[in-house]
Amino acid sequence: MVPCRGEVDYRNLSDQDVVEHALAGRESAFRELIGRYERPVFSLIYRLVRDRERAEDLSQDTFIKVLNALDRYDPSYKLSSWIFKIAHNTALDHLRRREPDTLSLDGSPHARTAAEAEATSLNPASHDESPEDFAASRELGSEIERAIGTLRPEYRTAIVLCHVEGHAYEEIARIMDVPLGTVKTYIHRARKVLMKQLAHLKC
Amino acid sequence: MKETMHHPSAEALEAFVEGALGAPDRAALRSHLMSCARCDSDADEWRSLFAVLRTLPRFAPAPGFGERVMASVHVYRPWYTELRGFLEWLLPRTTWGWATAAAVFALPVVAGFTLVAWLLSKSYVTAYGLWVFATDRFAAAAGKLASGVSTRVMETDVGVLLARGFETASAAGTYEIGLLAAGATFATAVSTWVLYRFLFSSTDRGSNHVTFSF
Repeated sequence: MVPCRGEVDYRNLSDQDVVEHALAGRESAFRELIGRYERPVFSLIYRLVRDRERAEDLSQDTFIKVLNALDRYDPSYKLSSWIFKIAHNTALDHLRRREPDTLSLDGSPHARTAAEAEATSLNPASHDESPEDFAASRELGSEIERAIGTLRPEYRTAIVLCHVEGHAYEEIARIMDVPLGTVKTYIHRARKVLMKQLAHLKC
Repeated sequence: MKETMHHPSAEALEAFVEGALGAPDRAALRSHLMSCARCDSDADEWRSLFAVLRTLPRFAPAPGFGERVMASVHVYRPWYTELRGFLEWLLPRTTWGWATAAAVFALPVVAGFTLVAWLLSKSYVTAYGLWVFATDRFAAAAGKLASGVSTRVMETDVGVLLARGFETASAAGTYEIGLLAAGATFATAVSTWVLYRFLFSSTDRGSNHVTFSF
């Protein structure tokens, strides 16, 4: 049973506790879950579809699916894994439905003008790092984002979950619904591709 | 004689840099790297890649993302939360609110006392006569109401069920009646606990709870 006296301070609560509050009908708990996962989910989907507007729509779809199905959430799963699984599947479904796209940081290939290309380009303006760090790593960050953009979607998901979200291989295997060995292969191959793509940056 | 050197695989170097090797393998590989410039250089490449990957940022969606999501989310509210919300909605939330509610509920009582006082001020009305008149009228009305209700209840399936229950109980022995009473007591205790736990032990109001105050 959810302890509920007055306004709830969610900061020290685990995901599991927040879910319990949400299941008790507390709207603030739903908002807390969105707040905790909007950036990780958006970052993963953004890197998969490489289009900000579509990534926003797909992230929104992901959260709507997650929050409307919260009563069917299996607590033996980590909440983050469940959310990432839905995000990954939502993005992959979208990618399968549309024509193969090699949209890069330079913008959508469907862009007809320079302005459209600029508008659809990957804009790393919102950044977790400080402005100083961002300025220092901007060029390298752009290169790595370009390199990640050339990877197969499965590789991209594995790399992002491993290096941005810090998930263990076993967790990534559960999220992607593939065997552990497959995840290791994805990540190893992705790193090899990235290493090759970034070789020119070496001094 | 030239010594043959066994170089570690790319996977082993990757696992070494990632910190995924066990202690014995890690020590052996470290020792190899100290004596093999080529493998040491390969390990440096892996280190550089891991360093670059560590700089990958998280991106944020446009402001108002949460609001857009919530507009399409159905906030599930269990029955006890709904009922508690309704009861809390009924209750006043301020001192003035309680005072007004008390005044409203006291109004019929005050009016009744005023009426009785006015009647007793008349010379042809005695207190005993008024009491007899009131109790007679009350008993007649209550009897009429009880008779109507019992007739209605007995016409329903619930009434039939209750009647059969009583018949069965009266036909049964002491042991069966005791069991029945114990079961009824247990059910009542559980119901009371559930009501207390979900309805009255919490004063929290969800943010989407409609509040009402005077």
